[in-house]
Amino acid sequence: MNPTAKPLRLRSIRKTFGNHPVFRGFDLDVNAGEWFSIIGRSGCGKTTLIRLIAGLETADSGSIIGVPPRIGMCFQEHRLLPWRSTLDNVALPLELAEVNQTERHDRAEAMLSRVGLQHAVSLYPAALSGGMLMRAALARALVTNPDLLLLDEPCGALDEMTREEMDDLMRSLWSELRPTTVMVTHNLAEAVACSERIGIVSALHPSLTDIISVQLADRDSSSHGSSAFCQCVARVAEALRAPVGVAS
Amino acid sequence: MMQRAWVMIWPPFLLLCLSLAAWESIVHAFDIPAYLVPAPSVIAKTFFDNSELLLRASMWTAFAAIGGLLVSALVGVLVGTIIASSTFLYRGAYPIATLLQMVPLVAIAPLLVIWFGYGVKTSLASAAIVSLFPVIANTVDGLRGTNRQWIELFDLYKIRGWTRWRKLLLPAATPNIVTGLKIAAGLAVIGAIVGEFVGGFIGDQSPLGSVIMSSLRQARTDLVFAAIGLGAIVGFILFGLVTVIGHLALGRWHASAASND
Repeated sequence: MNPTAKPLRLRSIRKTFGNHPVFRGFDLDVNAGEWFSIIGRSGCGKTTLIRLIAGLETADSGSIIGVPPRIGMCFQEHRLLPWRSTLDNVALPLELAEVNQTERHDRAEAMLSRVGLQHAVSLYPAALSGGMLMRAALARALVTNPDLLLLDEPCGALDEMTREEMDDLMRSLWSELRPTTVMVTHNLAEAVACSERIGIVSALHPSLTDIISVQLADRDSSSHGSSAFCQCVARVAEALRAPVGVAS
Repeated sequence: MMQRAWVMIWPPFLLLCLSLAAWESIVHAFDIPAYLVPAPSVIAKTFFDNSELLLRASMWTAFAAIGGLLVSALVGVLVGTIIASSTFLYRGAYPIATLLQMVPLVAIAPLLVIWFGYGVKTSLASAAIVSLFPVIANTVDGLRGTNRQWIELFDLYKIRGWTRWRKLLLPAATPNIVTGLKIAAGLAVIGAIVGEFVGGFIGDQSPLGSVIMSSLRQARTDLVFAAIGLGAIVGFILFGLVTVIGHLALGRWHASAASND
């Protein structure tokens, strides 16, 4: 486990956009070094939640405890800067943290090798495929060895096969680095493949209506057809369909 | 590579040759006197007979135009950055900057002579004033139009101020700034020549504007045309220079530089 990873606590979060309340007292507990996924239908506030944790939105009231200084984040889009090479994009967080050039290039190259982009260090984003762009974005999020990793539907724009490869990659990197991880997704298989626990958010009354523990021996894409995996996906689907207020 | 260059060059070259041939034919067919419209062959002869004077004049005009463009690039990016830095300044200062574009240069050129005296300083100032607004306007548009998603990335890392400007806003605005500089390049030559009309001088350092004015007084229309042609070439070279610099800055990542079709 990452020794500097901390638990994350959200208490009584309220957030309103105009006259539309998104959260009215939202609570969440994520353990140190845990991968916690939040799943829910479109419009239930998943992205708002992760943006609140990242500090990109401000809550109207409530508290978020345990956000460390070193955060890595993967957005729905890759957000690579087009005028920078892949290497310089991945090294950006280190550059902004004023790490010297030799060290940041060494670390960025090492991280690019881990995501399988060692051949693309000098390429520009325009020359990369969708899957390569997201792998580069993941490398950028992890290059600082963050204590908190936030993933906002990072594979939402990828095809099924590439998404499964990305899930395997994310899970393997998380196992090595063990940051406290919060991912929002609407993909049930992805949530089951990656997470220790899955929180179900209702769209009608945004709060955690259920939390499901995922205990699977094998999680890589080759095991997605196993009965244990399918049963777990079915449990999550059932929880999503359940009326508000039912918890298992 | 050579084939692509040839494909780019031959259509305008052919059109230019055809236009000159038509011009030459019309002048001869209607027997138009040379003091009204000289034939291209006459202008070419005048150019070769006065090449030393004209080339030296072009150098002075080019010097003023390049100097003015450099000043407008530096001041334009600086002022554009200040205007784009806050909504209050954008709403307050942008309309005032727009006034720059509305001021007729011919009207203020005599003032420039009072402030800077006769010579290259007046034409340089004139070139800078005329070419300033496109740089300001495009810098402001580029900075304010920076992709929100990239801004959020820098928000995540809590990077603001000078570092954000240097590593995000300026590179993101570079395509707009290059566009502004391309417009400014042509305007800078016009500004320099207008400045030379009122602030130029006769002698070894006489620029194109002065050559045009003195030739007009002597009814040397052929010399006026030769000077105008050279002024256009100076503008074209300056535009090409900015285009090459823009290509070097954007070539590897921006669509505007990647395709020249």
